[in-house]
Amino acid sequence: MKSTSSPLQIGMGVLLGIVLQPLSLLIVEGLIVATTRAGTEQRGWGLMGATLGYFAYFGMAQVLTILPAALLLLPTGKRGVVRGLLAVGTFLALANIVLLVFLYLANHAGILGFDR
Amino acid sequence: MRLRTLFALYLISTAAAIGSPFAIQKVEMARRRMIPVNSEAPLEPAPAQLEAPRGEFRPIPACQAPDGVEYYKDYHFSSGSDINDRRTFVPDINVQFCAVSKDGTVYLVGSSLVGASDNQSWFRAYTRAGQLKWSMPRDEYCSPPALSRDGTAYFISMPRTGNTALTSVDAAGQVRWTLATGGFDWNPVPPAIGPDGTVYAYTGVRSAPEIIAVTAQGKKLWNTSVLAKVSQIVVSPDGTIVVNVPSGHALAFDPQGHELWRFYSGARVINGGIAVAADGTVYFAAGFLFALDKKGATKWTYKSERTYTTNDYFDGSPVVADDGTIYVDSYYHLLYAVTPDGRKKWGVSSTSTSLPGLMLSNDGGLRTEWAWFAVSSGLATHGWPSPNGDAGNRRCQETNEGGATKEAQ
Repeated sequence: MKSTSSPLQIGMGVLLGIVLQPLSLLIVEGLIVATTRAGTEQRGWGLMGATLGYFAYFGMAQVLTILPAALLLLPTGKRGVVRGLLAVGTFLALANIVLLVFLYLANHAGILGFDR
Repeated sequence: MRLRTLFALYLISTAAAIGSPFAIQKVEMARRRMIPVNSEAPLEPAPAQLEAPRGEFRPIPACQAPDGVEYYKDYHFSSGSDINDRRTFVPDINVQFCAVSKDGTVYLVGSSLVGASDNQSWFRAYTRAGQLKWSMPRDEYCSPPALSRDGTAYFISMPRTGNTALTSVDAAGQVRWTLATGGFDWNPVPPAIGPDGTVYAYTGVRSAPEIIAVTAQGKKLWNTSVLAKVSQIVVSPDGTIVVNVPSGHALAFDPQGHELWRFYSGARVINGGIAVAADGTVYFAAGFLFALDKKGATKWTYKSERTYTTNDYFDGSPVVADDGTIYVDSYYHLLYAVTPDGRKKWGVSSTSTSLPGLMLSNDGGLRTEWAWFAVSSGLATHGWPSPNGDAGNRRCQETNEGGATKEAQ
């Protein structure tokens, strides 16, 4: 199959990467639902923790969607879409690192008031 | 950029994102290990520990009478300082707070037991023999009572619908007056009584937090703003009012309501506590233990050995013994005896998961929820808390009158 890569495909890849993000949370929540019993405290805490954790660790969660999608699209020859996906994943990962470092430094500077 | 390069970049950045929390944790732990804490050798060996008695639940030190009788909260409120000889004092209500007056009358704030036919909150007085003197219904949310020398009780309470009020109840159980303070507070802060009988209370108004001073007759003298919700009010021997604000602040006011000083601990600790020594030194447990002089300046700072390894912190009220030793326990179960100059006298560790709680009896019995100790000196007779001018020797005590001394009485 002939490989193709165009700005349009890249744009579509970026869009797909963004659209796929909530799926990461759904995957984790689905795993929690599958491994816990309905109505238990464990499930409640798990779902709450996953939701909160998603917003703190979105740069890690993206690997659950971006990587499989990129690997699935690669054999189809749509390299532009794969490029777009990887660009979104790279951006999210780096942004997450920046956020974590900022939170750590801000915490120590007393800006957030969590440090004791 | 070639796809292969982009892929490599993606994998590296994703791996870095996954590894970054671990790296940050490692940096943080390395930083904490560099900071000095009070891990020096103790000046003397710790006293022997006796395991705290167990009732149906682990009893919590609640208050003590001037004659030495100690009261404990568990499922049934009980009394007795002999480990094997505690007796149920009040079987029919769940006791939340207690205070004991000079004549041994025990004042209890409690509510009906779960499953009882009535669902009522009570303020009651009992003789030292456990006979009911009087009982009055109260609002659902109530502070520990503060007792004046004539047996008048003061407390802040609030019905479920809101609107806090300061109430004065005489020794016969008659309401003398009620002053609406207009706040909303599910955990009302106990009032404190100054040496001249003035009552100091936190209004509970979140939007405009204030301390008010009220005469024993219920006349409002002054009000002054505080930074935020207050968790404790104490009165030092010279009449200075010291207020604990959980944002990490201690504020001091003179008896006329003028701010004298404010101190910021740098830590937001919900349950931090304040004790005052006979010489006016303020011990402020808020993250670290701070000793503050009469101008609010730091004399010394004491840090738990686990401060930086497990984020340990002091969050309960310290107590000061007659010999000046400060007893304070930390969130992660370290109990310290600290000398008045900030040195470690001794320290013990517990594996218990119980909440911190300290009560020092008049004869040197140091009670926590997990162990009892016999220490060299009883509770200080001057300062706060003290057997005469109480407040929070474990939340409630003989009286909440600051600055009152044996001589004064």
